[in-house]
Amino acid sequence: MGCGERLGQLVQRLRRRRGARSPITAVARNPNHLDLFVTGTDGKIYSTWWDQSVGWVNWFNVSGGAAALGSEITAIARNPNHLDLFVTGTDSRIYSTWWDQSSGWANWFNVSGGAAALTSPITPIARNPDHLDLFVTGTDGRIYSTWWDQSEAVRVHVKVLSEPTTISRAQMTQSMRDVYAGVGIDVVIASEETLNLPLLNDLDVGTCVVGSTTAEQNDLFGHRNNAGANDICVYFLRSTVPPLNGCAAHPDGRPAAVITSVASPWTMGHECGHVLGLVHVNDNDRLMTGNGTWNITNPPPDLIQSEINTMIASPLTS
Amino acid sequence: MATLDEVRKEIDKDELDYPELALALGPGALPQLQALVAEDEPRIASKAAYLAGLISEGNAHDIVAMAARSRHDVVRVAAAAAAAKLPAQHAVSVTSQLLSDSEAGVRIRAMKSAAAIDEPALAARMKTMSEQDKDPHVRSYATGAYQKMRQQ
Ligand SMILES: [Zn+2]
Repeated sequence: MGCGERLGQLVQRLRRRRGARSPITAVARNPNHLDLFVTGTDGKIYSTWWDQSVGWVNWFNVSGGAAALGSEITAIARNPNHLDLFVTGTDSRIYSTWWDQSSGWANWFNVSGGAAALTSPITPIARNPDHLDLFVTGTDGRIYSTWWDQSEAVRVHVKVLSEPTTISRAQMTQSMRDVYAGVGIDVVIASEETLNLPLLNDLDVGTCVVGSTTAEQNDLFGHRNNAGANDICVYFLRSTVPPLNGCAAHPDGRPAAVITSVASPWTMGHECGHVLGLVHVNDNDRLMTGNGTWNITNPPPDLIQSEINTMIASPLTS
Repeated sequence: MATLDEVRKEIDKDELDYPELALALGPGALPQLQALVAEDEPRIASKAAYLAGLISEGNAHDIVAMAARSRHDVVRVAAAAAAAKLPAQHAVSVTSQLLSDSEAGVRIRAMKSAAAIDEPALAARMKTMSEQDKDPHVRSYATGAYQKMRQQ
């Protein structure tokens, strides 16, 4: 048996094994880094990575994700600081999540209501860093496609006077991202800064009405390091006087909101919604409910088309 | 009369209009507000305490005083702010207590109320705090606030 022949047999054998098991997907975001993805024997989606500086790390479950054994997870790096993953879930629906250098892993979400036969791989391609096209064989055997385009984004600068105590800042940010991403608006955390301002940590917000601000609000909102005129500054503080979960009243030309330590997962998205021009509604399925975002009944809460139009028309989205 | 759950629902909003709510609910809601402060959930108790202060009648001062003893900083901050809305004698007593709070932010908020209450005993406390408080932010704020009180 020649050497070439033996190699051929080995490849055949490896191919058969690969067929019986879950394929491993590898992606290089940059020349010194590798990310691997696989569906484990327990049906959970796992990842590990190798970096020139630290070597291999332990496998970890990606955002609680699961898929049928043998499902291929496809991964794409639109830019060196971002990964998008796609997989057909155990319910045959098409799921995606992403990792971003600034925020880590997001929750899995169903892509535009898409479904595919169990274990069908989804093929993504990025023609440019702000555009994705997806292709898949649907449950009816026909080939389907959809696309994502980063057409709108809102830039947020996080200023921390006090960390929240009930819901973490990371979770509030993620919850806002989930709702805004659902309507095609990317939430970019442009900067983070700690502010040591003990006199403003329990902020006098007066009546918290649009266009009317207190001396303390004016003082706080003067701290706009790194922020452009059309960027939103979100200040995390201990409490307001009177006690609110958050307040979006801000002086002209300084788009900003405050979030208190007792805020809900949705308060940040809600207050930024006010900054983008949205008003209260009487519906606890929606982000802009005036009945308190702690009482939201169908997380993630909805934004309706007229609200999306208002947000996109705001000079603060671009 | 509003039930406990109705009052809780009214105050469990991201933003609320306290003066409007104080008018709408009135002193009849004080037993519910007292129960909500006693429940000790910081988000609800702080709002209930502040609303009680704004209603200001009846035993509102007892409710604010209970909030002033809360283990949660945010509830004591709300009590410090609500104190300034109470009738003078109660305002002085709750504020005086919170000027000695262990947490610097609560003392700062109590000083803001003390400045609004305008009472010689509180002014004297502010003078002492401007010299002796262990927190430099508190000392510095007390110095400015005491000078303003003297000019009034
Ligand atoms: Zn609101």
